[in-house]
Amino acid sequence: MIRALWVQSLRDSALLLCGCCSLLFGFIWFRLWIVSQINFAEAVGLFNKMLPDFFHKLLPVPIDMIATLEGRVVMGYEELPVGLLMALWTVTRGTECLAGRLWDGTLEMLLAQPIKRLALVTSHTGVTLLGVVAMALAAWLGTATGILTVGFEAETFPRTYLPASINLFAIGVFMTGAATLVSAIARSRAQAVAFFVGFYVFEITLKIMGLMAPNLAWLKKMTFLSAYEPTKLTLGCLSDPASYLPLFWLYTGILVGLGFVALAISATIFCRNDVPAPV
Amino acid sequence: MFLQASGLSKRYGPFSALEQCSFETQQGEVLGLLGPNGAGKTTLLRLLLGFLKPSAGTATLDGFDCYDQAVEVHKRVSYLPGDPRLPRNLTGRQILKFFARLHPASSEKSALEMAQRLELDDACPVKHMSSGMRQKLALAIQLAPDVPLIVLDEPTSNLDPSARSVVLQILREAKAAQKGVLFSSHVLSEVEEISDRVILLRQGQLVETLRMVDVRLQHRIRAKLTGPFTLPQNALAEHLHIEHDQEGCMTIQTARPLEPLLGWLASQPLEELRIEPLGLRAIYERHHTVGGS
Repeated sequence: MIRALWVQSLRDSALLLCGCCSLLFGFIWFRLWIVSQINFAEAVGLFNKMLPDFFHKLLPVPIDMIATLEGRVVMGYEELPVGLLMALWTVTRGTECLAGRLWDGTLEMLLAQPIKRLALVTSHTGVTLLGVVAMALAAWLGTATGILTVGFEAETFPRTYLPASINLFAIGVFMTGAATLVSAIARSRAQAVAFFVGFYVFEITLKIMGLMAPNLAWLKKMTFLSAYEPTKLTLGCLSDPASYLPLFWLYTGILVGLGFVALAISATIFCRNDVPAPV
Repeated sequence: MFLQASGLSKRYGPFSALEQCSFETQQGEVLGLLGPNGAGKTTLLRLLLGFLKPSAGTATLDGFDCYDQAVEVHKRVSYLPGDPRLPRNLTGRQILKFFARLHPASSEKSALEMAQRLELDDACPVKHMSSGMRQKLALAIQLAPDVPLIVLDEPTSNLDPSARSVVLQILREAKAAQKGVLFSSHVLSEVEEISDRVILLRQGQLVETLRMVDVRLQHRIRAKLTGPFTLPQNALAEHLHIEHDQEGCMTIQTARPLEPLLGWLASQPLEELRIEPLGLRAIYERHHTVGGS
């Protein structure tokens, strides 16, 4: 019975997952090719002259570090399409789990079968988390393929970028948990997506304010986005592993831990609450 | 008793969707559930399925608590919701197979046979199905498992007359196989046709429980008097409710067998005699006409 739920969940999401993984893999590979075509030594000088001071505050690491080969490669994980693709997968799946099924009315037919409510949540979430693993892997494979196929001026190794991929996986787990939690609270999928987007915008605002204003630096500790630092963690683990490895595990632990706590809360809400009639 | 509800209530803040509902049913019995929209029929069925937590009271099925032991209850029940919706991207056959794998008492074979019996084109994707076809698909899913109790919320809505007949026949077969059937419907004729007992709900309260054997005995006799009229003997008159109007018409209601009455009627000066079964409609209207109580 449970196997049927897992198989169906995999089938339902296969197209979306393949699309997200392919785009992520392709984007990172293509970006590395573009990076290989730019003379960064000149570009960094230009950036330093042209960019206002506040822009430097928004960068994850100083621009000189970004200009290194490893910095240029790993900055791909900070690009908007990477975040958007991970959000697309996790939010689509997370909000579908409860609010989506409630909204389209299919939850009642499923719950009329002799399956535990928890089994319904875990099979759906399990597939979502497998997808998060696949996407983090696709990002790393895109990086590895880019390094092996694009000619860089110096040698760099794919394993260097494992912290960035693991950090991407961790934020995927967090987003899955957050999306599933709003799905357990909301009455419709649209409402769940709106809650999540509102939360995301609020978190970004906190992070930007914390970065821009020194007296508001404490705000950075209030947002989960501060634990997504692929560039800082990758370059730090490469240059000073003794200091940065504990930080890497701390950030990963925070994101994964919060994600699983959110999943546990959403499962509890779903298992205890009444199942409303289809809207 | 196989299914037993005792003081079952569901309240949403000050609004009471169901209040102190108690009834029971056994295997081999068809129990009809009647009431207008908002009477609490669906709330009652959803409480029995464990979808809602009772505000008060309990319901048990085969000894299992309907809320706390919902999985055990669902192993013994097939439930068709009032508005069954299914994944739109799958075909009928894929859905039948998926649900057959979810229920231990079901099988792909029985689900496909049920679909065939309902004349469902199972190759069609759900998104291209009409509402009637979707209802047939949901019925095929829920009637396929070999379970002791079938719970259906308005099973024949959206169905054409021939499909309705098939569904009623399947329910008769279930009864013959000593399965219990609990179903709600707004179609009084079909409730009358297959039910053994009927419970009537009004504004969240169970207002009457009827045995169909008793309902079928109830008749209304209308006739025009052409001469002086004599009352029947006492034993017979006790069970009659007789009314006259000024135009010389007489209406008699009885809840007893007609045979003893026919001899007396034959002796009266009557014309335009009409004898009609009272049926569920009259009882239903007694409770549910606007302003009725």
